[in-house]
Amino acid sequence: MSDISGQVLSVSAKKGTKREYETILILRPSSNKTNILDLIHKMQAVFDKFGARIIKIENWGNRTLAYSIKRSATGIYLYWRYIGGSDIVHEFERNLRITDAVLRFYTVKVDEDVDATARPSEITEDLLQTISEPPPEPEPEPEPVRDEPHSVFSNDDEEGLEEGVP
Amino acid sequence: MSDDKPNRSSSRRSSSLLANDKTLVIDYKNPQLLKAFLTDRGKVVPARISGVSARQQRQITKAVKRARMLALIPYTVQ
Repeated sequence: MSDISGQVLSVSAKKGTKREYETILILRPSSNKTNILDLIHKMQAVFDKFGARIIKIENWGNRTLAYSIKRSATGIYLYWRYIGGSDIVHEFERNLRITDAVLRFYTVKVDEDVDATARPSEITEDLLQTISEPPPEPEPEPEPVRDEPHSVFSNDDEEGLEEGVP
Repeated sequence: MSDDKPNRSSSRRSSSLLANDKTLVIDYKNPQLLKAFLTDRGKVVPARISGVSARQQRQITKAVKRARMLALIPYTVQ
Protein backbone atom coordinates (compact mmCIF):
# COMPACT_ATOMS: atom_id res chain seq x y z
CA MET A 1 0.00 0.00 0.00
CA SER A 2 2.60 2.46 1.06
CA ASP A 3 4.66 1.85 -2.05
CA ILE A 4 1.71 2.71 -4.29
CA SER A 5 0.67 5.98 -2.75
CA GLY A 6 3.78 7.06 -0.90
CA GLN A 7 1.66 7.07 2.24
CA VAL A 8 2.84 5.93 5.63
CA LEU A 9 0.50 3.39 7.15
CA SER A 10 -1.59 4.72 9.98
CA VAL A 11 -0.83 3.75 13.55
CA SER A 12 -4.15 1.98 13.79
CA ALA A 13 -3.28 -0.04 10.70
CA LYS A 14 -0.04 -1.11 12.33
CA LYS A 15 -1.85 -2.13 15.48
CA GLY A 16 -4.22 -4.23 13.40
CA THR A 17 -7.32 -2.31 14.43
CA LYS A 18 -9.43 -0.04 12.31
CA ARG A 19 -11.26 3.24 12.71
CA GLU A 20 -14.73 4.13 11.63
CA TYR A 21 -15.19 7.27 9.58
CA GLU A 22 -18.03 9.10 7.98
CA THR A 23 -17.73 11.40 4.99
CA ILE A 24 -20.38 13.66 3.56
CA LEU A 25 -20.00 14.63 -0.08
CA ILE A 26 -21.82 17.40 -1.86
CA LEU A 27 -22.14 16.70 -5.56
CA ARG A 28 -23.17 19.01 -8.35
CA PRO A 29 -26.95 18.99 -8.77
CA SER A 30 -26.47 18.12 -12.44
CA SER A 31 -25.01 14.71 -11.49
CA ASN A 32 -27.22 11.95 -12.80
CA LYS A 33 -27.60 8.34 -11.82
CA THR A 34 -24.76 7.02 -13.96
CA ASN A 35 -22.39 9.70 -12.68
CA ILE A 36 -23.09 8.71 -9.09
CA LEU A 37 -22.83 5.00 -9.83
CA ASP A 38 -19.53 5.54 -11.61
CA LEU A 39 -18.20 7.50 -8.65
CA ILE A 40 -19.25 4.81 -6.18
CA HIS A 41 -17.75 2.01 -8.25
CA LYS A 42 -14.52 3.93 -8.69
CA MET A 43 -14.31 4.55 -4.96
CA GLN A 44 -15.12 0.94 -4.15
CA ALA A 45 -11.97 -0.04 -6.02
CA VAL A 46 -10.00 2.45 -3.94
CA PHE A 47 -11.45 1.08 -0.72
CA ASP A 48 -10.67 -2.49 -1.75
CA LYS A 49 -7.10 -1.58 -2.57
CA PHE A 50 -6.57 -0.15 0.91
CA GLY A 51 -8.30 -2.96 2.74
CA ALA A 52 -11.08 -0.66 3.89
CA ARG A 53 -14.77 -1.39 3.82
CA ILE A 54 -17.79 0.77 3.09
CA ILE A 55 -20.50 0.12 5.64
CA LYS A 56 -23.19 2.23 4.12
CA ILE A 57 -23.95 5.00 1.68
CA GLU A 58 -27.03 7.17 1.95
CA ASN A 59 -28.39 9.63 -0.53
CA TRP A 60 -29.98 12.63 1.13
CA GLY A 61 -31.18 14.01 -2.17
CA ASN A 62 -30.77 17.36 -3.81
CA ARG A 63 -30.88 19.95 -1.06
CA THR A 64 -30.72 23.69 -1.01
CA LEU A 65 -27.34 24.85 0.26
CA ALA A 66 -27.22 27.48 2.97
CA TYR A 67 -24.85 29.42 0.73
CA SER A 68 -23.77 28.73 -2.81
CA ILE A 69 -20.66 26.61 -3.36
CA LYS A 70 -18.87 27.01 -6.69
CA ARG A 71 -21.86 28.95 -7.99
CA SER A 72 -24.19 26.10 -7.22
CA ALA A 73 -27.21 26.85 -5.05
CA THR A 74 -28.18 23.22 -4.52
CA GLY A 75 -26.23 20.01 -4.12
CA ILE A 76 -26.75 16.28 -3.85
CA TYR A 77 -25.69 15.03 -0.44
CA LEU A 78 -24.11 11.60 -0.12
CA TYR A 79 -23.37 10.16 3.30
CA TRP A 80 -20.66 7.47 3.44
CA ARG A 81 -19.70 5.40 6.43
CA TYR A 82 -16.67 3.14 6.30
CA ILE A 83 -14.01 1.33 8.30
CA GLY A 84 -10.32 1.62 7.60
CA GLY A 85 -7.08 3.28 8.58
CA SER A 86 -6.21 6.94 8.18
CA ASP A 87 -4.52 6.06 4.89
CA ILE A 88 -7.91 5.39 3.29
CA VAL A 89 -9.15 8.83 4.32
CA HIS A 90 -6.16 10.42 2.65
CA GLU A 91 -6.57 8.42 -0.53
CA PHE A 92 -10.36 8.80 -0.61
CA GLU A 93 -10.14 12.56 -0.21
CA ARG A 94 -7.41 12.77 -2.84
CA ASN A 95 -9.72 11.00 -5.27
CA LEU A 96 -12.61 13.27 -4.36
CA ARG A 97 -10.48 16.33 -4.94
CA ILE A 98 -9.79 15.33 -8.53
CA THR A 99 -13.44 14.48 -9.21
CA ASP A 100 -15.18 17.38 -10.90
CA ALA A 101 -18.66 16.51 -9.70
CA VAL A 102 -17.72 16.86 -6.03
CA LEU A 103 -18.39 20.33 -4.70
CA ARG A 104 -17.30 19.66 -1.13
CA PHE A 105 -16.55 16.84 1.29
CA TYR A 106 -16.05 16.54 5.01
CA THR A 107 -14.78 13.56 6.99
CA VAL A 108 -15.34 12.89 10.67
CA LYS A 109 -13.88 10.07 12.75
CA VAL A 110 -16.76 8.28 14.41
CA ASP A 111 -15.01 5.60 16.42
CA GLU A 112 -11.60 4.12 17.14
CA ASP A 113 -10.42 0.57 17.54
CA VAL A 114 -13.45 -0.99 15.93
CA ASP A 115 -13.61 -4.66 15.19
CA ALA A 116 -13.90 -4.66 11.43
CA THR A 117 -15.45 -8.10 11.27
CA ALA A 118 -18.27 -7.18 13.62
CA ARG A 119 -19.66 -4.56 11.28
CA PRO A 120 -21.14 -6.07 8.15
CA SER A 121 -21.32 -4.04 4.99
CA GLU A 122 -24.82 -3.18 3.86
CA ILE A 123 -23.70 -2.47 0.34
CA THR A 124 -25.26 -4.59 -2.38
CA GLU A 125 -25.66 -3.89 -6.06
CA ASP A 126 -29.42 -3.42 -5.68
CA LEU A 127 -28.85 -0.95 -2.92
CA LEU A 128 -26.39 0.99 -5.03
CA GLN A 129 -29.04 1.35 -7.72
CA THR A 130 -31.45 2.93 -5.26
CA ILE A 131 -28.74 5.07 -3.69
CA SER A 132 -27.68 6.56 -6.96
CA GLU A 133 -31.29 7.38 -7.77
CA PRO A 134 -31.83 10.47 -5.65
CA PRO A 135 -35.04 10.66 -3.67
CA PRO A 136 -37.52 12.70 -5.74
CA GLU A 137 -38.08 15.56 -3.36
CA PRO A 138 -36.57 15.48 0.14
CA GLU A 139 -38.34 17.48 2.77
CA PRO A 140 -39.36 21.02 1.88
CA GLU A 141 -36.50 23.24 2.85
CA PRO A 142 -37.17 25.52 5.76
CA GLU A 143 -38.03 29.02 4.71
CA PRO A 144 -35.47 31.80 5.25
CA VAL A 145 -34.35 31.91 8.84
CA ARG A 146 -35.31 35.53 9.38
CA ASP A 147 -39.00 34.82 9.10
CA GLU A 148 -38.92 32.27 11.88
CA PRO A 149 -40.29 33.50 15.14
CA HIS A 150 -37.15 33.50 17.21
CA SER A 151 -38.58 33.84 20.62
CA VAL A 152 -35.85 34.50 23.10
CA PHE A 153 -32.77 34.95 20.99
CA SER A 154 -33.48 38.02 19.00
CA ASN A 155 -31.46 41.00 17.98
CA ASP A 156 -27.95 39.77 18.68
CA ASP A 157 -26.41 42.99 17.41
CA GLU A 158 -27.70 44.76 20.42
CA GLU A 159 -26.23 42.01 22.54
CA GLY A 160 -22.82 42.36 20.91
CA LEU A 161 -22.80 46.10 21.43
CA GLU A 162 -23.53 45.64 25.06
CA GLU A 163 -20.61 43.26 25.45
CA GLY A 164 -18.17 45.48 23.61
CA VAL A 165 -18.72 48.52 25.80
CA PRO A 166 -16.51 48.37 28.87
CA MET B 1 -27.84 51.02 34.25
CA SER B 2 -30.20 48.48 35.66
CA ASP B 3 -33.09 50.89 35.14
CA ASP B 4 -32.65 50.65 31.39
CA LYS B 5 -32.95 46.90 31.23
CA PRO B 6 -35.22 45.54 33.87
CA ASN B 7 -35.36 41.78 34.28
CA ARG B 8 -33.30 41.19 31.21
CA SER B 9 -31.29 38.20 32.38
CA SER B 10 -34.22 36.41 33.88
CA SER B 11 -36.45 36.89 30.86
CA ARG B 12 -33.77 35.92 28.35
CA ARG B 13 -32.69 32.73 30.00
CA SER B 14 -34.83 29.92 28.77
CA SER B 15 -35.04 26.39 29.98
CA SER B 16 -32.89 24.30 27.75
CA LEU B 17 -34.35 22.32 24.93
CA LEU B 18 -31.76 19.71 25.73
CA ALA B 19 -32.70 19.45 29.37
CA ASN B 20 -36.16 18.25 28.45
CA ASP B 21 -34.98 15.43 26.25
CA LYS B 22 -32.05 13.51 27.65
CA THR B 23 -31.73 11.26 24.63
CA LEU B 24 -31.11 14.17 22.27
CA VAL B 25 -27.62 14.02 20.78
CA ILE B 26 -26.01 17.16 19.43
CA ASP B 27 -25.03 16.22 15.92
CA TYR B 28 -23.75 18.33 13.06
CA LYS B 29 -25.98 16.37 10.69
CA ASN B 30 -29.10 17.74 12.37
CA PRO B 31 -29.40 21.38 11.27
CA GLN B 32 -32.92 21.68 12.63
CA LEU B 33 -31.66 21.12 16.16
CA LEU B 34 -28.68 23.43 15.74
CA LYS B 35 -30.87 26.25 14.49
CA ALA B 36 -32.41 26.41 17.93
CA PHE B 37 -29.03 27.62 19.20
CA LEU B 38 -28.45 30.27 16.55
CA THR B 39 -29.67 33.83 16.44
CA ASP B 40 -31.58 35.00 13.42
CA ARG B 41 -28.29 36.42 12.15
CA GLY B 42 -26.71 32.99 12.32
CA LYS B 43 -24.53 33.51 15.40
CA VAL B 44 -24.21 30.96 18.16
CA VAL B 45 -26.26 31.90 21.21
CA PRO B 46 -24.17 32.25 24.40
CA ALA B 47 -24.69 29.55 26.99
CA ARG B 48 -25.67 32.12 29.61
CA ILE B 49 -28.68 32.95 27.47
CA SER B 50 -29.64 29.55 26.12
CA GLY B 51 -29.07 27.95 29.51
CA VAL B 52 -27.18 24.90 28.25
CA SER B 53 -24.32 23.38 30.22
CA ALA B 54 -20.71 24.16 29.38
CA ARG B 55 -20.25 20.70 27.99
CA GLN B 56 -23.30 21.01 25.76
CA GLN B 57 -22.16 24.44 24.60
CA ARG B 58 -18.85 22.99 23.48
CA GLN B 59 -20.65 20.27 21.57
CA ILE B 60 -22.97 22.83 20.00
CA THR B 61 -20.21 25.15 18.80
CA LYS B 62 -18.31 22.25 17.31
CA ALA B 63 -21.41 20.90 15.57
CA VAL B 64 -22.35 24.35 14.27
CA LYS B 65 -18.92 24.83 12.73
CA ARG B 66 -19.10 21.46 11.03
CA ALA B 67 -22.62 22.06 9.75
CA ARG B 68 -21.57 25.45 8.36
CA MET B 69 -18.77 23.78 6.45
CA LEU B 70 -21.30 21.48 4.81
CA ALA B 71 -23.68 24.34 3.95
CA LEU B 72 -26.36 22.88 6.19
CA ILE B 73 -26.57 26.14 8.12
CA PRO B 74 -25.30 29.53 6.96
CA TYR B 75 -22.18 31.32 8.16
CA THR B 76 -24.00 34.64 8.07
CA VAL B 77 -27.51 35.80 7.39
CA GLN B 78 -27.85 39.25 5.86
